[in-house]
Amino acid sequence: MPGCARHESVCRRCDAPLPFDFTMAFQPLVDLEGGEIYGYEALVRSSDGGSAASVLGRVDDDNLYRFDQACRVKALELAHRLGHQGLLSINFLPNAVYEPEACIQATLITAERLGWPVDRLCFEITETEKVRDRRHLQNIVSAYREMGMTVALDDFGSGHANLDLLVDIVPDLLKIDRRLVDGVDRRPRQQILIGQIVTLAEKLDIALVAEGVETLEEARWLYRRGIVRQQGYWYARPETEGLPQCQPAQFALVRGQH
Amino acid sequence: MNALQITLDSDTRQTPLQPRLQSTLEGLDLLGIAALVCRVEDDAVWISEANALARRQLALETELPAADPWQWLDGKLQPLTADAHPARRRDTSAPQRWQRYHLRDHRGELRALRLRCRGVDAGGERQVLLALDRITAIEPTPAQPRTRTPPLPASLRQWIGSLPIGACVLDAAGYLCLVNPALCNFFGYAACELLERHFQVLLAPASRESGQRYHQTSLTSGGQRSVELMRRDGSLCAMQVEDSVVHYADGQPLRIACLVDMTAQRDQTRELQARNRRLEYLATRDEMTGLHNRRYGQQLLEQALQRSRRYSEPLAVAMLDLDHFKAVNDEHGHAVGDDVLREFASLVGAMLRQSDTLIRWGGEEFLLLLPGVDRFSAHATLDRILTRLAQQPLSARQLQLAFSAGIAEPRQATSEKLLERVDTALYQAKQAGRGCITMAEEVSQPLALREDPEIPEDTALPESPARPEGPAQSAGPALPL
Repeated sequence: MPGCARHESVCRRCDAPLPFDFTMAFQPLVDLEGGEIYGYEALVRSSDGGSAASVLGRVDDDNLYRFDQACRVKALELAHRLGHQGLLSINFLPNAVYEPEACIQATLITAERLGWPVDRLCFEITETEKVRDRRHLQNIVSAYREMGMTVALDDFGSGHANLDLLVDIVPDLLKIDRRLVDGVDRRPRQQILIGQIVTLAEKLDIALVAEGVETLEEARWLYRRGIVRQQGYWYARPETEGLPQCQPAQFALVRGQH
Repeated sequence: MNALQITLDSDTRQTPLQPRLQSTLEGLDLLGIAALVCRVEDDAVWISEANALARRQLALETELPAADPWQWLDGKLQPLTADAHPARRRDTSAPQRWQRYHLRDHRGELRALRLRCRGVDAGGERQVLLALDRITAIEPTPAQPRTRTPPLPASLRQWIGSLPIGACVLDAAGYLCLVNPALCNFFGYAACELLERHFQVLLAPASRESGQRYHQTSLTSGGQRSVELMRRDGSLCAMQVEDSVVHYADGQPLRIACLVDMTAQRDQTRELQARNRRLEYLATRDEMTGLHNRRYGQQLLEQALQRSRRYSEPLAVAMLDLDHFKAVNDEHGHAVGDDVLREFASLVGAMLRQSDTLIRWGGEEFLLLLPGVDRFSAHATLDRILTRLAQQPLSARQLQLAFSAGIAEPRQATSEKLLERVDTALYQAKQAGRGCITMAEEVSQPLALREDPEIPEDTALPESPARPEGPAQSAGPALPL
């Protein structure tokens, strides 16, 4: 199989144990229109429930792709064990696609082993500033979408996750960066920027998700502007090895139906 | 839960589709999935594009676009009706689930695969993108439609799963219903990659045909056999397969195959063969210089003499003896002496033709067989070697050495008589002051080693003695100077 270093039983590179332990937390992705949690994003946590930073600090160039791979496998296994039935959103280091040893197939194999339909998988492309070869990334994204997976561009509107990336890469979803979302209800400049992103996404037929929604006011403003998919502390904090729920009243509050 | 309502059809997007389709094909290639783009034209299916993996795995050698080269069969090996061809299906605006198909090419080779298709709009024309996965070459199993096997009893699963040796369960058609961790581990597959695949995927190409025949017989009586299997990485291994047969309540047979790795034993046999070859080498070669040894050299001499007699071909035989070699050993030690012998052997070897043979006769004595060459040409050859040696100090100590040599032609003599004459000539050469080449019989006037090695070699050919028969110069040994 090209692009994969799996041979002789398993892949010695991806399957070699990491020198540290970690686990995953899950945060709900809500759909205000449907009034439900349509999926969860998997986030790295240290095995004692500590922050992601303590784990990420131990990731170096040597084990980066192994770690990336291990995250995807662990997220799938945990979500499966917790009985999650909706979409599972997993972060994906874009440069992993340049490394044959990153074993993209291992994710597919895990999904198949668990009987997890691939159309319930979403890959969030993060750290886009490090994208070296867009054409290559574009190929991978096209192939993922062809196989029925969803592809999201993370942190859109900040840093390098920007407009020009959309020239080459056609994602299903844009996740609006938390810096644009923070206080959007009272900051006109941010309102203009988000308004433009909404227009752009409509024209390009790309769905939007607002990240980092922390207050009811933000959630309301975004909902009125047409962003019905949201994520953030206001709905639920990430829960380590658990699937946190939201109150139906929260959805009603945001929609103004209380 | 509400799945994301996103259309996968790209025709509403802003960028043109053709590059996107190309990008999808390449991306699928990276994911290890073969992909084809097909269109229907004049009621025929055409393949307009294929990724590299599809070309390789389906042995698609033709230029594209090309007419669909395969016979399409469904998962039960029944030929498809024309309308059922995946490229003709109308219900493909959304991607379909994986479905099992078989393809037969013009050579009759049959491949099992799973496929999903999606209609795409390429420049206003409807095409179908086919993703093909788990392509496995299989032998046809006529009149054995694949029926879905009922689930295996839990006890059987548990028992097979816990076996420390590789084991699998095959249904009557040869598809894998169960593989245990030991087997997956050995072959380098994940279990899900093997399940529902034909067992041919585990066979080495050479054993596929016999594997199919054996499968049929093992279904009735079980049995055992040695077979060459192939791991996922393509490496081959010799296995002993032990079979037993169990039956479902409805009488459907299942083959339980246990595999024992015999590669180590086979390798042992091969090692033994290699050791025998090594022994043979040692028996015929001189270990230090890599030249033929005296014992084998004697055989070679006999053969050369016979050949010379049978074909009335000239043959020159020379004995070379390094001058003052004993002094080298005494002054510089045996290690330097050995180096001198090795370097001398390789220097002389490099100046000989393929057909010439250099033999380490013993000590610092070397026998040289020059078939097709008379003694005059042999003399010229040795003289050139002597000149070259004068320019090439040997060993780390940069020792300047020369040799003396005696040459003779067989002239119907036995090998003993011939060697006597050669030795006599060599003795004369030594007597003449070393660094000399002497021909037995007529010529007794040795040619002294020229004192002037500065003369360019191509002009430094020694004054050859008169040549009675006058053979062309090119008949002499071709020297890579």
